This record gives sequence, C-alpha cells and structure tokens, in this order.
Amino acid sequence: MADLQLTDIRKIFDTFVALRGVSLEIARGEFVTLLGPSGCGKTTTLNLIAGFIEADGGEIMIGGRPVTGIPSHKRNLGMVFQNYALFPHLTVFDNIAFGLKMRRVERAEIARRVDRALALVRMPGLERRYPKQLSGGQQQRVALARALVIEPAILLLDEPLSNLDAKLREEMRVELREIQREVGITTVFVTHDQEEALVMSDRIAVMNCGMVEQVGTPAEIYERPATNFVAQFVGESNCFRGHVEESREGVVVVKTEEGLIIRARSDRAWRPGDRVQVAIRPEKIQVGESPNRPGAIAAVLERVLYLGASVRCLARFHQRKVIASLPNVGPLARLTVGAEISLGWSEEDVILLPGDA
Amino acid sequence: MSSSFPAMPSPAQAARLVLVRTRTGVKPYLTPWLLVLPATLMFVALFLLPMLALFVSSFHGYDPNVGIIRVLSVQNYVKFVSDPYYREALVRTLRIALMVTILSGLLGYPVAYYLNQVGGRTRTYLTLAILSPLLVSLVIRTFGWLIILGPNGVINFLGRGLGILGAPLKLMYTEGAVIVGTIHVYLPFMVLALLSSLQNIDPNLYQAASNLGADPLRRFVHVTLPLSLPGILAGSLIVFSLSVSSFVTPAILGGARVKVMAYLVWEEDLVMLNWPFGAAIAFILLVITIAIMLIYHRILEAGRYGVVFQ
Repeated sequence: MADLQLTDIRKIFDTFVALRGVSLEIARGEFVTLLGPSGCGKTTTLNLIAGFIEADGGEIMIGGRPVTGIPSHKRNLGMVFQNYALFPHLTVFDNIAFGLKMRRVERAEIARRVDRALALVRMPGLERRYPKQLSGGQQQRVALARALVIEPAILLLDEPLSNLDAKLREEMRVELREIQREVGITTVFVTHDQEEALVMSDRIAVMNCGMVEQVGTPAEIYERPATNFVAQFVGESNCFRGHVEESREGVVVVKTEEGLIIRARSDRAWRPGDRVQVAIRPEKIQVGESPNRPGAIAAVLERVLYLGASVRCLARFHQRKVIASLPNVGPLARLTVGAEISLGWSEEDVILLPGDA
Repeated sequence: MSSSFPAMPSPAQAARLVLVRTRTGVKPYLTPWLLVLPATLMFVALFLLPMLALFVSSFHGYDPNVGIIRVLSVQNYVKFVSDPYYREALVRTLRIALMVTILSGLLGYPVAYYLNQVGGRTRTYLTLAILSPLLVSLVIRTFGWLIILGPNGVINFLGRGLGILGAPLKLMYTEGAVIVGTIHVYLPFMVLALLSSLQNIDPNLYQAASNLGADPLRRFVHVTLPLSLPGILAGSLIVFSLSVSSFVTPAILGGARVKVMAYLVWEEDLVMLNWPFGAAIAFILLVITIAIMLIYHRILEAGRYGVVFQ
C-alpha cells in the first residue's frame, strides 16, 4: 500500500498554474526525488504535502488517510528546509526538542530522544550551542535530527544539500541516505540537481511545467527517458530529428533531417512516417581514428575538452555539433583537432522519443 | 620609504589613499575622525557642556531675595528626597511612563503583527496612517483630546445624551487623560520598532514550527514573541524615555493636578525662579531613567532568550 499518494493535484497561484494534475504513489520506506528546474512545481508539491498551502484540486493521502483540510501542525511530518530554518533563539537541544515539547512528551523522555537523534546524525556533544555557532554542515544535521526525532510519518527534504560546499555535499548525499535507510522512513526529496537525484533516489519523478513527466528508477530515467524533456534535463543527449522509415520486430529505422539512417530498439509501436527524435548519450558514442568505419558516421573533431576523469570531444557532422565523452584511458595524443574521425554507437543505446508534431 | 602605510596596500587601496592625501592634504587615518568632527563638536557644545553646567548648578543654593548662591551643597537633593510632594511627583511620573509603555506595547503589537502580514501597497498606506499623528503639532493633537475628554466634550455629551451617564464624568486633569494622550503621541515609535523586528524573522521559521506540531498560538508564544524581543526592547526604551520626560501633554491634559517631573522643572525654573533646584529635579529624573533602562536591558539579556540580542 502506498504510504503517500497524490492523485491529480492541482494548484493555481493567482494567474500562474503551478501544478496541473500531479499523481504519484510512494511506498513505505521509499526514497523518492522530485527533480526538475526551478518553477516546475516540485517545491509547491512539497508544500502541499506539508500542509503549508492547500491544493485547488485532487487528493493527498498519507498512510491511507486523506489529509485535505488538516493543518500542517497536525500532519505529523518532518521537514528539512533549504536554509535549515533552525530557531536562532534556541539551543541545539531545544531546537531538536521543539517538536517533542509541542507533543507534550515528558522531560526525561525528551532528553533521551534528543540524545538518540543527535547520535543518529553523528553529532553528539553540541546540545548547548546556538545555531549560529555551528557550521553549515552541523546546522543541517541538527535540522535533520529535529525532523526525525518526532518520528514523522514522512520525511520531507527541500533541497537540503544545496547550501553546502561541493565536498561536504557529496559526503552528505551518502550519509543522508544511510540515515534514511537506518530509520526506514518514507522520504520525499526535492532537488534540481540531477546528479544528486540519480545517486540518492529509489525512484525519481521528473517534473516540468507543473506536471510529472516520468517516474522511474534512476537507471530507467537515464537509460530510457520517456520524453524529450527528460532526455535533455537528466544528463546530456545528442538529439536528431527525423521520421520513422520502417519498424519491424522492435527495431525501428529512422531517417534524420541530415539524411542519416539510425537504427534503434523500441517496444513501442511506431508507424512509418511518425515524427521522432533520436537521442544518444555522449558516453555511448565510440570515437574511431579513421573516418571510414562500417556502421559509423564520419565527422570532424573540432575541440577536445580535458575534464580529468573523462575527455569530451566536440565533433561536427553536417553543420551539427555532436558531443562524445570518453573515459580517460590510453594516450590522448591520437585525438588531433581538425582530424577526420568516425562516430559510432550500438543500436540498443539509441533512445527513441516522439517528435514535437 | 613611506612607512605610514600599512603593509602592502592593494593597487586599488593605494590609489584611494593617494587620492585622499592629494585632494585634501590630510593623512588618510585622520579621515574618519574628521568626518565625525562636526557632529561631535555640536554634541559637545550644545549638549554635553550645558548638561555639565546644569549638573554643577544643581549643587548651588537659592534665596528668593538674593537669587542664586554659588556654593556647593547637596541641599537641593536632600530637599527633594525629604519632601513627599516631590517624591510623589517622581513616582507618578514613573507610573505614567510605565503605563504608557506597557499599553503602547499591548496596543502596538497587534498592529505591527498585522502590518508584517500584509504586503506591498497596503503596508505603505497603513504605515503612513500610523505615522500621521506625528505630522500634526503636538499641541494641536493634545488639544484634540480636550475636546474629547472635557466636561462638555464628546464623551460626556454622548454619554448624557444617550442617558448612560447621570452626572458628567471627570476625565480631564486625571492620570488617565495624561496616559491616553501620551500613548497617542508615542504609539507610532512602538509600532515601528516592533515592525522592524518582526520583519527580521525568517518566514520559514513559522513553517518549521508548524511542521513540528505547533498550533498558531504556540507558534506565536515560542517563535514570534521571543524573536521580536529586540523590537520590544527598542520600542519600550524609546517610548519610556520619551514619556518619562514629556511635558506638553501632561501640562495640558493633567495640568496642576497631575504634576510630573518635567512640570516641576518648569515650575521651579519659570515660576519660582529656583534654577538650582530645577536642575536637581532634572538630574534626578535623568539618573533614574538611565538606571531603569539599563536594568531593563540587563534583565532581558540575562533572560532565557538573551541570545536574540547578540
């Protein structure tokens, strides 16, 4: 049974339609990320779940019960805010104890549970400090402890890592996920950082313009994007427009506007003449030294960008830029700018998407 | 070698330093001092020196037949402390100022709270409305209260006309009248001080409190109120210090029946011509006011939420 269920949620702010029918089911203990650009409605969705705003349509069920009309302070949810929103006038102890005091838990029990929460977020011994005496990373742990100590039905995370520096952010991704598994709490995580979403989530809901474009595991989202937007937003793609020439037994032959013939695999039923887009991830493209390789296209290498762990090749093919990403193994000298090269890929790595019209 | 510069100024700093030197011909480290010099001179000449003169004169003697006697004695202070007439005026003054402060806080908080909730144009208009009493002369505003509170004023007229009151209520020349009139004058200061502290509270904190299970009342008690303490402190210090020394409003609405310290000073200086004693009264009020304000500040800072003042 779904622990959190959104059914056709709609929200309008004055004249701006923020959500146009969002549906999502999240199972108990699952870590689901709402991923999308700013203004896509991911934070609005989170605020609706938290009860800070009311939906204009649709239904939210938490633990099988509809929560429409229930004010946020009665929903028993834990939330970590982007700026942590720690109470500046309270010590770390009192910040974490806040939710327990509101629930009229007795003092000895509060002390016990605050201790346990601080141990859980690996930060014991700072109970008497005030928030402004803590580093960003420490503040974030306190915010997490404060949200978890009340044993909420669902944990809501609103871009909690975006204010940390890069190194700490990567550490916290792993640690946050470990803590979440330890507690086994159903979690909704909001971010615009695709890497964060891919690393942390059980499933990702990619949102755009107030709608969910696709829901799936990180691998599904990356390997099999369902829409053009998902293909563009999550990771990079080389896109070609074209139409279906032939479709037989799961193999689709596409002719692009450049006249290129690309073969792709697809479970969907395509008919000859359908407008389509073909997307190929940069790292799925093999670069060959000689321009004449069977099954590959010839292109001119324009630039080579050295990224340390990988190398990006910008090549030109029929007035179009094609990006290929190679792992940094072997000598790089063979990549000469201006040389003719070949670009190849295998047909199972080709992503086939419906065209615009 | 230019040893007057601190170690290796950046090119931009160096350019600025050179610029200041060449344009004004003064050394750069003097600049801040020169900038505050005019204000400092004015403060010293027009406030500090007269206060010092006043302090010295409060120890002088006075004889109605001779005038001021230039001796040094504490007789003025002894006279004040030993006479219940003066002591009562001091207590009355502090009581009125305290009531004005508390009541403006209670009246002003909801207004500031509401102003903080509304946005944009509404807030601008409402702020203007709150400031509007300050646009009218203090004397005119206070005479307005005469029309309302007088024996044939609005309240008595309506009360008797509607048969609610038998005999006219005596509203003028009471402490109540002074308190009401003074609140009217100083309420805007309280509202503005409270508003600025409420505006500094991160709105996410309300959501966080709500999310953690605090209903609107407990959210106010545990988050809004403690975080607005700096505004409460600033507002009450301003209102208290202004109303403890106010003269026009108590003089018009309280008259000779509700004598406050400022009224006593005026009486000694301009009616009795006993300037040394007037100076002593002024100093007693000043010292007590400063002491009360310091103690109040200390209490709040030492309190549970002292951290909000840092």
